[in-house]
Amino acid sequence: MNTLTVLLLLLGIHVAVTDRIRPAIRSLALQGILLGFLPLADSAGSSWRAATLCLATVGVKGIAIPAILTRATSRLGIGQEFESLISTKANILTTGALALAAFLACSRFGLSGSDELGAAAGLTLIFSGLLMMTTRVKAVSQVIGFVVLENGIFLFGAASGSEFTLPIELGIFLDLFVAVFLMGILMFKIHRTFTHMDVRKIHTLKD
Amino acid sequence: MPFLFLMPLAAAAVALLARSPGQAALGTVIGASGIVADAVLMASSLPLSGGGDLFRLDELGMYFLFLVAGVHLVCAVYSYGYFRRETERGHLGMSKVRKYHVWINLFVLSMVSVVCAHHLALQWVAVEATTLFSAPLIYLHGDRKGMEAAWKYLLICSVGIAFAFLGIIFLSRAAGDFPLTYTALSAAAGKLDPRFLRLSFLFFLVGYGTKMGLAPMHTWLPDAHSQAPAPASAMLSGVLLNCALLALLRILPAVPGSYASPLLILFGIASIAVPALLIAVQRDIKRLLAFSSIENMGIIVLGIGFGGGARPAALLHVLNHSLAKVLLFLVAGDLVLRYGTQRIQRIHGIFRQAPLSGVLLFGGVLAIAGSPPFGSFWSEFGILAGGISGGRLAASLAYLALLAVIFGSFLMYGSGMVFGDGNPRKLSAPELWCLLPACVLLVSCLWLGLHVPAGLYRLLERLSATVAFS
Repeated sequence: MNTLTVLLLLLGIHVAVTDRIRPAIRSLALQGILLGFLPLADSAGSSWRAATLCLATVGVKGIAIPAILTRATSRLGIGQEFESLISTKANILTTGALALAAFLACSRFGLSGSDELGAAAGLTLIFSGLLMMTTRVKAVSQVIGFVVLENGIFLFGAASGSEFTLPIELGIFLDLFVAVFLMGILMFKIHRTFTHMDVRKIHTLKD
Repeated sequence: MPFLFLMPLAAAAVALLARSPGQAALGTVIGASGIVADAVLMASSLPLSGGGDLFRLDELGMYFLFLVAGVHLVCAVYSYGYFRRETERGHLGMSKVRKYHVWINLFVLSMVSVVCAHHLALQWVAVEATTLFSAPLIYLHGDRKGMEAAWKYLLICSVGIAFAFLGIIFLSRAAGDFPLTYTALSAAAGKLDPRFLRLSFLFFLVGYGTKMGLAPMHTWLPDAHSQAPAPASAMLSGVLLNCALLALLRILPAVPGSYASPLLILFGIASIAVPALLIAVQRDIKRLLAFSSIENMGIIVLGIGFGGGARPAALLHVLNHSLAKVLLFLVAGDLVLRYGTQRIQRIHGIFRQAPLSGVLLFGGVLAIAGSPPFGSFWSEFGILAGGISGGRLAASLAYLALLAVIFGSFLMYGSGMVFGDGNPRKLSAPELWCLLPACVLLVSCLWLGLHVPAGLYRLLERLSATVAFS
């Protein structure tokens, strides 16, 4: 359980600090597959439920979403580099500081050892996802940031023991999948009309 | 209750097969009437539940359901006239009209799920679904601005809603063994872990507040609501914001007032103040209306935060705002098509050229600005009175001052557009199916201002008891 959490955290940090898009998507896919093992590690629930959740997680987060992102990057001819408003150095330092803040915050939640680690790792992913969404320039990297954020929430929720009935859990996956799918479609459409994927230049709407 | 979910699905299927804007609109109108009729039939046997813990329709849900279904019906009738004109002019092809009707019905399906949800996590799923199903409506025209608006909408609201999910995680931590249904939570009030409950409420407020357009999380709203086609804008402003509000209201009975009330007042005042400044310098008629939606959500949240006598007034304002805002979006959409511009300055002399539209627009402006004899005057006044009698003097005075500023701006825009010399261009003929729904709305606004039915008043008192702080 702890190894899994640490791996998830390391993959998340890799996505957050790398300046290349494809490796980031690969790490994101691996993270999605590993997240699928979380319900299996929880021995309390029924095995049917765990198996369904595992399949849904791997299917949506490990396969479908990375596939959409890969397709978008290759079809749209988006360059290999992430462009960021802050330097790589500043990015690494900020991510480290956010991780520290997340661990400090979670030490006050009163969770037990491995759950505390899980919650802190989840919170780190949430923070770094938000950081990516605010500092990265390309539309595809904002979507990657959003998926990191969602993965963080998933991990955080699993660690703090929130469980819902199967229809609700599946509804959550469906929502996430449709959201990323729609973002992918919009990326194509925006690319066609704007011929660039730089969100800095998308600001015709203002007061 | 299953009928409620089947009607919009059936209407969406009809729209897929429709060959003309008329057929598609007819399907949507019949679907909407079905929801209204079903709601009327169910009204006497509340609360209804279904799907185990998942669905439950109580009086509060029914109040919001009536709003969703009623506005949907009015907008469906309007959409017939609106899209007929758009297709005749070659702005939109039949495939886009079909798309509109498919998505609007799915969008209504998701809003019906929000009002019927019993479990708060299911409600979250439904609120996120409202974002997903309404995003394609925003870029229906397929132009740059629409895509930019849809992109912002999708990203910002999804992140906001993700925060609300963190709120649900904290809530389940606070609740321990209690199920996360709103009935169980309000019964368990006082027994929940206060630390996690406070965190949870904060995340709910920020998350669903983003979806409601509360300042400072409102940045997506003016873009999205101004880029959608008029009937969709009306649905977004008129009922979607209410659904997000309902999601927030559901958690209030579990939260101590001493914590929730100041936060709600703070966000309420901010959400009135920010649009008050921006309304004063608006040039685009649909953005003006969108900012006014932010302001009105601020007023409602402020009233809920004041508590006491302001709470039923705030719930009444939900109704008044919906009626007036839908009226304005529908009239504005018609005018934008006929004048060929969204610029406020270029629209003038409506009364001389199209008297009925002039009356509808000016009536709507007075209604949204909270002027007597329209309903919103009474609800805004009730919130003020509740604030003062609850001892929230500073917030009440700020509220009054900001309302005066907004009233002035609206009166200026309204009279500028309605009176004065007409446009040199000749306007196209009025479209009956666009004006008729607006007339119905104006009469309802006026009726609620002249006479609040005793039954509605008693209902609001009961509803406000169910959303009181613990």
